Amino acid sequence: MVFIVFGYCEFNIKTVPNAYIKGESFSTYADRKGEAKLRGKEGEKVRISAAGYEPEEFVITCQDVEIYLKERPYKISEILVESYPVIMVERTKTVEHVRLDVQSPYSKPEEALSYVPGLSFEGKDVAGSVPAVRGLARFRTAVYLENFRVSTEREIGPSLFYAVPDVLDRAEVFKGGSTVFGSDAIGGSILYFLKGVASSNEVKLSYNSNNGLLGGYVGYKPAKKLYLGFGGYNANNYYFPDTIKGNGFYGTDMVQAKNSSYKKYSALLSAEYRGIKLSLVSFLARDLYRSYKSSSINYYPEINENFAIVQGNNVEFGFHNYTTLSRKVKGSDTTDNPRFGNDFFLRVFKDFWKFNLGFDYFGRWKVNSEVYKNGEFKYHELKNATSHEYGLFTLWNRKGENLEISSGARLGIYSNSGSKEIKIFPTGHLGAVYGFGKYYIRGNLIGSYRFPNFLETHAYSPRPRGFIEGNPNLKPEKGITFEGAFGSKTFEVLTFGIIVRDFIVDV
Amino acid sequence: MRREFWYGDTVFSYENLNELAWIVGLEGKSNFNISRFYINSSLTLMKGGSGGKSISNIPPPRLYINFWIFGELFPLL
Repeated sequence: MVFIVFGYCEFNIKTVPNAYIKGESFSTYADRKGEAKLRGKEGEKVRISAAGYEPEEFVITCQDVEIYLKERPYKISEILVESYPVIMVERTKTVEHVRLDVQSPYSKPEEALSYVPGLSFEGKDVAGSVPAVRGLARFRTAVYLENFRVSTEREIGPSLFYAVPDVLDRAEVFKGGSTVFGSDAIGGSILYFLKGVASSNEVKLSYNSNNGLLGGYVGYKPAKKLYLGFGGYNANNYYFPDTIKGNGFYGTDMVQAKNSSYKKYSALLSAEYRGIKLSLVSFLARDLYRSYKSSSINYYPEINENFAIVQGNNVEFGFHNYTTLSRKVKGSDTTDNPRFGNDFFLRVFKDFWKFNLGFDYFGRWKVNSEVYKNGEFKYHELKNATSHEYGLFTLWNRKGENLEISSGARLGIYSNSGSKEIKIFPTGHLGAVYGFGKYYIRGNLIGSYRFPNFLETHAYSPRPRGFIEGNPNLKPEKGITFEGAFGSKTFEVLTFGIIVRDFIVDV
Repeated sequence: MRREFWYGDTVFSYENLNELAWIVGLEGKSNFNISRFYINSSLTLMKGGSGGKSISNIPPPRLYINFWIFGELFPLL
């Protein structure tokens, strides 16, 4: 059945199961039977892709369509990866593509990643735990928003725990170090992508009695190339610490746990003009309680995270401004730790002959952290601190009948205002996929590194688990990941090994 | 010391391990669709350590399985 309203028509498509269907004005997935109902304009181009199949395009004619993609003899895992510049040549690595339409009772985007093999969570704080690829959290799993590294001063590492998940469209989980993105991806990287002009209009209301969660989201396109989104959640009845046995369900902490709460709001503006995409997004959280311990309460009275990101075909850059207030209450004493600062990133990449060459920069500017006791200023933990990371990378890919090889090299350079030393570290990757019949084998050798961050080098403040004092003499971590896998389009078994030199531990 | 203001909490700092840290693991995933039956699963096994110490973030083994049947289950429903 086909409906045509104001130039838009609704029609049905039948294709392969779980195919990703992307038009100029919408994107969606086929269901597990390969069926979807689409709404687009006559003449609009639509691309269908699915793991294990050759992608195809068609033009909307306002008629129901059946398009069965041609099967590849073997699968290359990141067929569905849509993120540039990664899509170009880092093609043999282990990548998971995740739809973010799974909403957890805690309204945290990371919850949708829970079924990804090799991905776990670090932290007892259900509203603030962070993803850990292959068991490596604490700044060893890098988190990106539209290719912009997400920074944090939390010792547990970065995440988008403060985000209303509805503003996000999808995530891609990359295992192993990243030649394109650089530091912090010892375990891997998680790339989040915002909704935009290809998203549908939507209105959503949610209620969950289990944690008193009440919220909603509105996504609206007032013009073809403009998308506006706004959402908020209010949870007022969840419990700390975790209410699971493994994390102390029967412990004294649970006995003394109190019901907790948070409020989150997110606003998004996404616009596209002549291939240039602009994303403006604000994440606000209020009174987000992190942990009740027997003698103290830790929470965020205020979190403000604002991102502005511009992306073109060969260049992308962005600005991140943040203000967070962390509070610890112990007896009659209150310790406040306001932190505020700015991050910038720039990435330029272009194909030259058979190579892709790129340059990137990630800098933290005017990073401040102050400590107050009972409202009285005590000292600066960080005052106008800066750090600069530069990277030069090159990528190369060769695709044959049954064999695909990808390789890359990167030189990372780091300096910060607390140390006159400039740290330089080279890395890279080499990988191959070989297909035979319906099966394939693939292997990767991936280098990685992680420069110590401000928390590890400069911290001097009370944190939820104790007082943290940084060590300015830390050396960068260096890692190597080995991977070997056997699979087909229906299964994959993979073994891996990671070795890390100068692993940073707390003592 | 300024930290003495802070309630006698445990004091932590950071250092580089002298030994190599290591993690080995097995990951599996499947995605079968036979007629009206659909099975999706993932498996993760990991172990890690360094100089006799365990790396604290290594999670326990995890198996995730989804099983669907599509279409009419019984002629009368």
